[in-house]
Formats: sequence, C-alpha cells, structure tokens
Amino acid sequence: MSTSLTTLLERAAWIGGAVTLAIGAFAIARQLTVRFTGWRPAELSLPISNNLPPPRLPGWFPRFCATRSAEAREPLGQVQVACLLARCVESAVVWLIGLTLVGAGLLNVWWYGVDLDVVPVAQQRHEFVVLAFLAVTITGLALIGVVWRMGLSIVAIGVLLSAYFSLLDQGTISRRPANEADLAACPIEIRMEDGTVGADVWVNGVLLGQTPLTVTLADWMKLPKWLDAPTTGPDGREVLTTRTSRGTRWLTCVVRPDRRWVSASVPEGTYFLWAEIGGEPLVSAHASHANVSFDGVQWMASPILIQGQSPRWLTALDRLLDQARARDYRIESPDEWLAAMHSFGEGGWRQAMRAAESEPLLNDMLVELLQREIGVTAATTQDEAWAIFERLERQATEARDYQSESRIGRSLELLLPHLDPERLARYAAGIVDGLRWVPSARSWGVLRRGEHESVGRALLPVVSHEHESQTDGNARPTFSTGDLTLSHASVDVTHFRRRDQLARLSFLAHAVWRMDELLDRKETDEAGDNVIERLVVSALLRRGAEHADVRQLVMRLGGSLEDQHLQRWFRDWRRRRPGHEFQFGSEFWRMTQGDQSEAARRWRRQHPDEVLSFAESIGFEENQDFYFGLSDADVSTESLAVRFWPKYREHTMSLQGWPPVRKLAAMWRYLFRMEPYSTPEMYVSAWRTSGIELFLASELQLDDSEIATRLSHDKRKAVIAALTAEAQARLNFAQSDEARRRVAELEEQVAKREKMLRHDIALGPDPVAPRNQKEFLETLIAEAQSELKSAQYDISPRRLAELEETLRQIAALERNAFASRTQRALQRFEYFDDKESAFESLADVMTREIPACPELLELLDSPDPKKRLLAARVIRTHPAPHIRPLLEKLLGDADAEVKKIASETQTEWQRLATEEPGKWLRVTDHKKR
Amino acid sequence: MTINRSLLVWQCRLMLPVTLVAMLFAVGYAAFLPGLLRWHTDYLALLFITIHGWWLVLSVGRPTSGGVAFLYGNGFDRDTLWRHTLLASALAVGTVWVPVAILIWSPLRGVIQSWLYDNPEFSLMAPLETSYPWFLLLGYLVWIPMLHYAWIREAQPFRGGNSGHWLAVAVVVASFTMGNAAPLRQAPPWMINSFVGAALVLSGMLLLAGRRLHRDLEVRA
Repeated sequence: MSTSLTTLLERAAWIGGAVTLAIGAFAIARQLTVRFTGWRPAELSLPISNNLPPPRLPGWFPRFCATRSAEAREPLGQVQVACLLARCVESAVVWLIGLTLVGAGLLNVWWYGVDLDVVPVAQQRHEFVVLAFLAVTITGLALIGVVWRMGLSIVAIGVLLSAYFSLLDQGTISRRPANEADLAACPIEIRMEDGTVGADVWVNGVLLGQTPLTVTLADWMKLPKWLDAPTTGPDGREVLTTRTSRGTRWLTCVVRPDRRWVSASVPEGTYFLWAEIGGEPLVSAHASHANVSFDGVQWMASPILIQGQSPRWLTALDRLLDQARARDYRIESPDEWLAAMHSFGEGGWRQAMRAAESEPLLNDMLVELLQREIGVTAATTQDEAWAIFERLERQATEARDYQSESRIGRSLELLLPHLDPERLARYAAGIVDGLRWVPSARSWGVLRRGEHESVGRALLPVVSHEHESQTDGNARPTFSTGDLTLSHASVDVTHFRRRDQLARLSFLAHAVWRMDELLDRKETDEAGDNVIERLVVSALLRRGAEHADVRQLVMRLGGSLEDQHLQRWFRDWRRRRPGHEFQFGSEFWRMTQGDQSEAARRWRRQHPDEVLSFAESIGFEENQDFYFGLSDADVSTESLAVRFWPKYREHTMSLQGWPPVRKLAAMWRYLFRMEPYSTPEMYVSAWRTSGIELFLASELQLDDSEIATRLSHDKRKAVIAALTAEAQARLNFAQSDEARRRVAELEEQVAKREKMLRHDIALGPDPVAPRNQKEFLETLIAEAQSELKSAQYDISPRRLAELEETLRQIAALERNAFASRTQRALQRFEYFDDKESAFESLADVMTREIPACPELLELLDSPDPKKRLLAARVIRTHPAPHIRPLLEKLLGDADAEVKKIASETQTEWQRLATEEPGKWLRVTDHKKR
Repeated sequence: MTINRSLLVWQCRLMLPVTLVAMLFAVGYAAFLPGLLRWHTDYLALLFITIHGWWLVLSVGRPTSGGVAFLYGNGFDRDTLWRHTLLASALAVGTVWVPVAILIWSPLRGVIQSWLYDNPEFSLMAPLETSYPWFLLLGYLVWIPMLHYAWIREAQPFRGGNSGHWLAVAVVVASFTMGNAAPLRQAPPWMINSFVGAALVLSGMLLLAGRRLHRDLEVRA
C-alpha cells in the first residue's frame, strides 16, 4: 500500500464514519420525531404513501419509512416495549463489544507500532484516525441496529473488525511502508558528543561544515569513495594510521543501511572523518556509526557522534592533574578545584578517573571532591541521602546516557552507604513492576577492558566478551577503573529515542547492584538474603524471568530466591528442551560460560559433565571465541575451562578453512584466558598439535595487551623458555646422530621389504598365505615411509634452517608480544618515526608504575647520558610523589643537559604546587552549547 | 426476597452432572497444569468457560427443555423463577470456581507443582497467578447472563429470536480475538480496568434486560 493510498484510506475513513453515524442519527431522530410529534415524511408531500415510485430514492426506502411510520403511530404495548428494550440492549452489547475490540486494537497498535512515548505525532494521527473511524462507524451501525436491522448491524460490525484485524496483522495499518524514494532526504546528523559547537568536520576529504551539522543521505552518497584513510590530514600534514593514546588520525565511520528496509541500491560504506577544533585536530578521537533505518513513518539515521578532545584541552587537563600531583593530592580549596574540574565537563571527570586507575591518591582526591559536590558527609541522614539519590537519578535521566564510570556513577557509589537499603529496594521493585517493556539486548554495546567486566545490557551488567564489542559498530570506549562499568555504548535507531529511559534503568540497576554488594557484606536474614535480594530479585523474576537481560541481572544479584529458581531452571531445562532448543539453549549457553552467580558456579561445579555435553551438543562457530567455563578458573585445575581444554584444542584443529597459524593463535588465546592455570606445557602442546614447524611471530596476531594483562612476568618467561626448549630439542634431534641412524634404519627397512615384495622369497607354497604376507609387507612399508616423511625425521638442511629461524622467531616473540608494556613502549620509542607520540606512551607507562618502574630506574642508572636524558624527560611529565625522589638523583647528574632539565623540572613542579587550579577557559572556538 | 429451597434444589439438580464434571476438570487443571496460569494466555480456560457456561445454561435456562418448562406451569411468578435460575447458576459456577481459587490463592498449587514437577516457576512466580481466578469469575459474569439472555430472547413473542445466540457467538469471538490480537500482558492498568468495566457493564445490561424480557417469555414445551 503506497503512502498516497494510505492517505486516501484515512480520508475515506473519516467520510465513511461520518456518513454511517449520520445515517444512524437520522434513523433515531426520525423515529423519535414520528413518535412524539406525529410528523411524518408523507406530510411533506413526499410520494411515500400513495404508491407512486419515489423520484430518486431506492425502492426499499419508502416501504421502510411507511411501515415504520405506521407502526410508530400505534401506542406501545408490553411486547413492543420488550421488543424495543431487546433492540436497545442488543445494540448496546454489539456497540460495547465493538469498542472493546477497537480498544484491544489500540493496544495492539500501541505495542507494535505506536508507543505513545516515542512515536512521532504523524504516526499517532494515522493510527488514531483508523481507530476513530472504527469507533464512529460502530456507533452508527449500533444505532441503525436499534431502529432497523440488528442482524445487518452485527454483520457489518463483524466485517469491519475482521478487516481491521486482518490489516493490522499484515502490518498495513500499524506501519507505513518504507518508500525508498524518500530515502535520499534522510538526514544524517554529525555532532560532538559533548555538544561542542564549531568543530570543523571533513568526510573523505570534503569539508562538510561545523558541528552540529546535518547532511542528507543523497549528499552523503556523493562524497568521494576512499578505500583507506590517507596518511596525511586535510592540511597535508602527516597523521597516524593506527590508534595511539593521543594520536591524531582519520576516524572510521560506517554508514550502515538496515537491510530490513533499505535495498542494495544504498550500499554499506566506510567513510573517513576528520575533525578539528579551532584549527587543531582532535586527539584520542572516535566516531560512532550511522545506522540508516525506517521507523514506520520516516527514514532516520542514528547520529554520528564524535568523541575526542582538542590538544589544548588535554594539555590543560594534564596541567590540572599535575597541579594535584605536585601538591601531593592535597586540596586546600575544594570549591576552586570543583570549579576547575567542572570547567572541563563530563569528559574531564572521565579522563581524570581514568588517570586515577593507577593513582590511588588521585582517586582519593576525586572521591573527596565528589563527596563535597553531592553533599555527602558522615553525618548525612537517610532522608538527605534519598534526596541526593533522586537528584542524581534526574541528572542521569536528563543526560540520556549513563556510565557507571562517570561523575554521576561515582557519586552514586559514594552515596550508597548512606541510603536506606529497604527504601531503595522498594523503589526499584516498584519501577520493575511498572516496566512496560524490557530493552532488547541486541541494541546494547558490550565491552570489556582488560580484566574488568564492562558494559551491561539495559538492565544488566553482564560478563561479556571482547569479540562482541567488535560486532557493534557503535561501541565506544568505556573508562573502567577496575570496577565494573555499567553503561550503554550506543543504541539502534528505535532505542535511540528511549535513551533517557535506558539511562534511568541503567542508573537504577547500578544502584541496586552495588547496594546488594554492600549488603552482602553485612546484613542478611535467616535465608542469607538481604533486602535487595528479597524485594528486587522477586520483582525482576516476576517481571520477566524468561527475559535474558532480566535473568542476567537477577543472577548478578543472587540470593536464595535466585538460587532456588536457577537450580530448578537448570533441572527443568532438559525436560523443556524439546521445542525450546533455541530459547533455552542460548540461555543455558550464556550461563554455562559466563554467569558469575554463586548458583551458576555451584551448578557448573556439580554438573560438569552435563555442561560439557551441552557445550559439545551445540558446537560453536568458526569465528566464535570459545571462552567456555573460563569464569570458573578460580576452582583451579578442576575448572571446566581446564577440563575443556583438550576438547577445545581438538575442535580448533578440526576447523576447516583456518590456516594453522590462526589455529595456534586461537589456542594460545584460550590459554591466555585460562591463566594462571595454563601451564607452559599446554602452550607447547598447542604448538605441537598445530603441526607448524616454522612460525613467524608477526603472523600470530596475538593481543599483546592481553598477554601483558593476563600473564605474569614469570609465566611469560616460562612459556618462552618452554617454547625455546621444544624448538631447541627439535633442532638438536634433527642434528643428532640418533636421528640420522633412525632415518637410515627406516630407509633400510623400506628397501629390504620392497625387495622381499619384488622377489618370490616372500611367497610361500600356501595358496592363501602369500596374499596375506604381501599385504602385511605393504603395511610395514607404508608405516616406515610415513614415519620417514614426518617432520621429526626431516633432517634436510632446509628444515634445519627453518628450526633455527623458529628459535629466532621465539626470541622475537619474547621481545614483542610477550614483552612487558614498558619494554614494548621502549621499543616503539626506539623504532617509531613519530617520536613525540611514542614518547607520550613511554612516559605514560613508565611513570604510572608504583613505586617505580624498573626500566626507568635502569635508564636513570645508565652510564649513557642519552638514556639519563630520556629518563629526565620522562620524569618531567609526572610530578607524582613516587616520582619526585627520582628527580633528586638527576639534580646531581654529571651531564649538564640532564642537570638542566632536572633543574627546570624542579622549578616547574614548585610552580605547579603553588599556583591556582587551572580552569579550562572557553574561547569562541570551543564554545559549548 | 425469599428463597424457595425446593425450587433451588430442583434447579441445582438439573445442573448436577455438568457441575461435577466441570469441577473435576477445573480442579485437576488448576492443580496439575505445569507452567504459570496467566489470564492473558490461557485459551483453554476461555474454552472451558465457554463450554461449561453453555452446558450449564442449557440445563437450567432453556425454557423449552422439559425440566425447566415444567417449572413455568407450577405457579411460580416469572421474577421468582428468574431469581432462582440465576442463584442456581451462581451456585453451580461457585462450586467450580471456589476450589480453583482456593488452590491458586493458597500455597497448595505451589506445593503440588514444586513436589510433583520440580517446577522452577514455583513458588516464586505464584503471585503472578493471583489475578487468574478473578479472570475466570469475570468470564462467568459475562458469559452466564449472556446465555440466559439468549435463551430468553429466543422465547420472545416477536421476531429476531436468534439474535441473542448471535450475540453470544459475537462475545465468544470477541473474547478469543482479544486474547489473540492484543498483547494484554503489556497493557497499562487503565486499559485493563476499562476492559473489566466494559465487561461488567455488559453483564449488568444483560441481567437487567433478561429479567425484563423474562416476564414476556412464551414457554413452548
């Protein structure tokens, strides 16, 4: 149905409804007029009673009028009263049923197509016109039923409602069809995430304007096509092609049409975006993707949000943090510091919290500031705390975006110890009971940073997996500080308009979760439950135990209710599995691999065989990382992860289409995840199983940050040593006399048996035996030849060279992927052309280690003045208390240049310790909304 | 308003077979059905109310049937007969509904489900079932007056005797359509209350109209 036809239908609905109602009203009015005044159509000289044909009316009309008029003149008897009553009641019943069904239709439309909270007025108008037409028409037909034909009335209402529900089911009423002709006008908005106005934006080299700006899809599609980001910026200056901590680069942005609505005429495309504020390119920037979709009324695209900062902003923030460090994180004037922090906006708080991950004293300072800001002290009463809670909730809702690792999230955590748990539990349970919808999990980004659990789904912080973050184009970095971070990354088109609701739910989920953790440490009832587990868990289970997101939050909260439910649910799973494979299978799958609740852990410990058999029964896809049971690594070598390792290895090797090096990398990644229970022998056995003789370290594509995070220094050494020993053993064997002797022996055996085969010696007189002997000899020859062909007995010079190269590659692995962060930063500094950027990374890594980084101490003690100079430059970047003693050493350095830098650093640090906290001054170019 | 016990007993006796069968079925259903009893998804309950109500009214409310027609020739005035018919219907419905409600509102069903099926939804989810008996009662409140009205309408001395039955069919179709077309579980409370209000108004209208029409009813035994 085209849009114009739909409009036509709307008009017809209005006219049809009005006509029907008018006829009904006319019929009633006529009856009443005749009854009470005796005034009849015949008295108007209409040719009704003289048997003459009416001039324009159909034949039935005068007959109808005459009969009814005649009946109407007679006084009403008992039976006629009963008859009239029956007609009225039946009409009323039909009318009521009709309107109730229309009401149900309203609900249907509401649920599937018209959410009054979010759908535009045009859509509501369209839906309600249809419903109003139905209501009016049904009323008219009911009136007609009273005075004329009840049967006709019922049939007509039935036909109308059937047609309505049929059209509704087909989606023709609840949704308008997507018209691709209008797609060209679909607006794509580009803006800075923090609302900065006036940032210049280039896409694929074309200057589009200043933020916020809107481009139509048609104009967007006319942009030049770039296969890859160039190595220079729009001004011709060289830029980075990889992401570094503070680098400048082209940002990747994918315009992704929703294939449910958009045909292949609009291809998905990757675009490269460049943004500058006040002539300075953004650093540490990131852009979200634009999903083009249709919401039932119009085309729309999720906005492209640019997250990033100008170098001046970062420098100013760094200076502020350095001022704090230079003062030993002591705050003399909290209000001034608060004003300074707020001048940098929410981004400034996030950046500071990120820095505080490795600076406990900075963290304490931020906590003190936040406590002051929200007004929490040791004397805060529960009522005051509740007022603060409501204020924070309002702020989170208004921000339309919630991250636990934000100013509001941190403030909430500081407030929780002062809140009345029961009040919070009742409040949250009430919200859950009143939820009309549960946000869909698929619209939520899921992230994980290092060891830390990260982003949740709508209601829930889940244990997530890194690969999922790659599938969500809108995922953006979350600043985790070692605590669980609850936030949503971004949302699809539909949910974009519900961000405020999602933000509020995330805020509540965060509050409930943290409160549960607090209470778990102190108060519980006889069943071991706290008030959150009693009230909120039961509300969540009642609201939607079948809903994955709700279930995940429930599991996180735990408690005896959840425990009981989960235990039974697991038992019930097998019984219900037929017909529920997908639903229960996927749920079960998530629990087996990820759920951290005590119930799930216990169940996994108690039923490992079932879990393993389930894992095998559903299999896993080629591109899926299989971190099965890894969350239970705390149960040591008996964990499911360890038990599953041989099967994982076997399965990985059976994957078709994967090059061996990819299989090896996958197996090692599994082992990294299994740390600290992976043994060096496991790494070696993975290599052995993969059958790779020579591997190139660069081809393995290992995530070095994962190695650095998960493998201890000693384990890294042990793994490298084991690999080296294995490679060396292979080389030694290949070069040994024993190998040569064995090869000679095998060759001799083959030759001897082949000779036996060729001569009649092997063939005895028995007519049957010779055949058996021949087969036996052939088998022996094949076995010997196979052994000879195996890598072990390949002692050719080419293989020896390969093995030597492998040893070199293992050494390279030790220097690269298996090296510590500092070692890698040093290497980058040494080899990278972009010394400035590499130096920033190096200084960042070296100065954050407490008490002091060994590599930095090595540089300080180095006899090479260049190295001491580098140490001096590194130290200068970080006036933290644990770094300051190192400066003393440099002040007395023999090298004049080193001494000069140290002296300058000392002066600078003294100035930092005394000057006022620096605010971010807004200039015209940086004007915020 | 006096109650004639003999008349009531007579009418109840007419409904005894259907009441016993329905009670056994309903109690068994409520006790042993695994899974939650949710009013917005339970089509079987809707079907049960339809059949039970139809059978019930067929036994006691059809003026042409022998047992019922007999009463009209024994000197009872029409309003007395109408009152007692409704009272007997209410008792019969109550005999089925009360045990089911007790099962659901008491921990009994939870215990049976827990013990017999190891059902993960019990007793945690039991509160979700509390509205279920009210839904059954509302169904009877609409359906029984509707069927009585249909039979009374059929016995009126004017045209359109079938319209009551057609209305009954319309009510059944509407009930199933409601369950099928609308995700009522998600409906806001005001909408649920509106539906309940409409049902009560419908029931009241049918009762009042049935009482009035019953006075003009022609018994053709």
